[in-house]
Amino acid sequence: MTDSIQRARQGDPDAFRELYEGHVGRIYALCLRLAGDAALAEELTQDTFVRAWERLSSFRGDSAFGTWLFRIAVNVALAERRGRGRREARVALAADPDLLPSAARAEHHGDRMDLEQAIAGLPPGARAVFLLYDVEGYQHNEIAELTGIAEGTSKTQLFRARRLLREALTR
Amino acid sequence: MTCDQFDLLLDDYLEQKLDPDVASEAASHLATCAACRVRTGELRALLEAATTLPRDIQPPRNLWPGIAAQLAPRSSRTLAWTRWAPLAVAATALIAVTALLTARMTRHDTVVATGPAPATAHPVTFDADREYALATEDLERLLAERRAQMAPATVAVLERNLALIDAAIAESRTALAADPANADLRALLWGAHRQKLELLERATRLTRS
Repeated sequence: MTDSIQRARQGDPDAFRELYEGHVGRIYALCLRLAGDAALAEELTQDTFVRAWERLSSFRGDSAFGTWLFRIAVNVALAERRGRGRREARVALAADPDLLPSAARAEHHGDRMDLEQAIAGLPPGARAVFLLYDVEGYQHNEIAELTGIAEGTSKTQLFRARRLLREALTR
Repeated sequence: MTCDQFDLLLDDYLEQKLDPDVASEAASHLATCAACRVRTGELRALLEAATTLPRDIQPPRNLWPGIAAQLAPRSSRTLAWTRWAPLAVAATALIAVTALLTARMTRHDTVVATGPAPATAHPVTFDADREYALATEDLERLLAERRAQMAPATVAVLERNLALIDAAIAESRTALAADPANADLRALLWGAHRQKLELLERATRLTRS
């Protein structure tokens, strides 16, 4: 366990800030893609770190801190979606390329931008599974554990996501 | 093997998850079917592209102040759910409570005047006041740029509420300066900062939608 983690566990906010600075890009990227909305991604990123601070005492170092934090981010993002019922609103937003995350617009070009847009246009469940499996490299059993869906549902959603993306990118 | 059957196996074929016999059958079909080769190429390109997406994207603004604002004091975290509560009511209530505590503190001062609290009595682990101020400065700047997008009535309500909260912050700071060890006052100051931050965040979000 790194010195920053140990100090943060003891309640040192400066140490936690070091952890924030080291991981915020990764967490924001995930939240941005899961939410399909830059403002919401900022909220989710903040909530993730606040949640991590509150749970730091439960971090035992069995996995890397980044992995632990990533799991919290997934949970925060999925809980927000379930809790606030923003599903339809987000899909509607994501379907309009002009409303896609500005950070993503600034960062990506050409084919990569097309893919970002296409991912943002996926239904939320399919989007989450695609991101976790094909972008982040999780396996279906891990996604099932992480998101609370059945392993078979994860496979089905991945199949659906890939088909929808292929259609969107070859239009 | 038909094209429909191949299509169902395509993902597992590319990921090399098929049994050898089935994989061999799929390969045979692929060798003779141009349409399925196109589909296979599309999926392969998609999967390769997915691995090239940046895993790290920096947020457009510094999110730390908003996070730090919720880390201290830990026990005040439960106030975060009030984010969407009517802010005017919250600010007014805050001022009322601040005034009450200030009065209580003033009375307390007369008792402890001969023996000031030791500096170690208020273990502030980092400068939350400054963190809050930095956070609100960023948002105030952003909001000023976007003010033209807001209806005049909205601007008026916003400014009225900000003035109320600013008054609460100023009052809390003054009281805290006189009684640095007072944890209640410190919590009130942070609460007022948090109210301001949330109001500003909410207002800037309105200009984005």
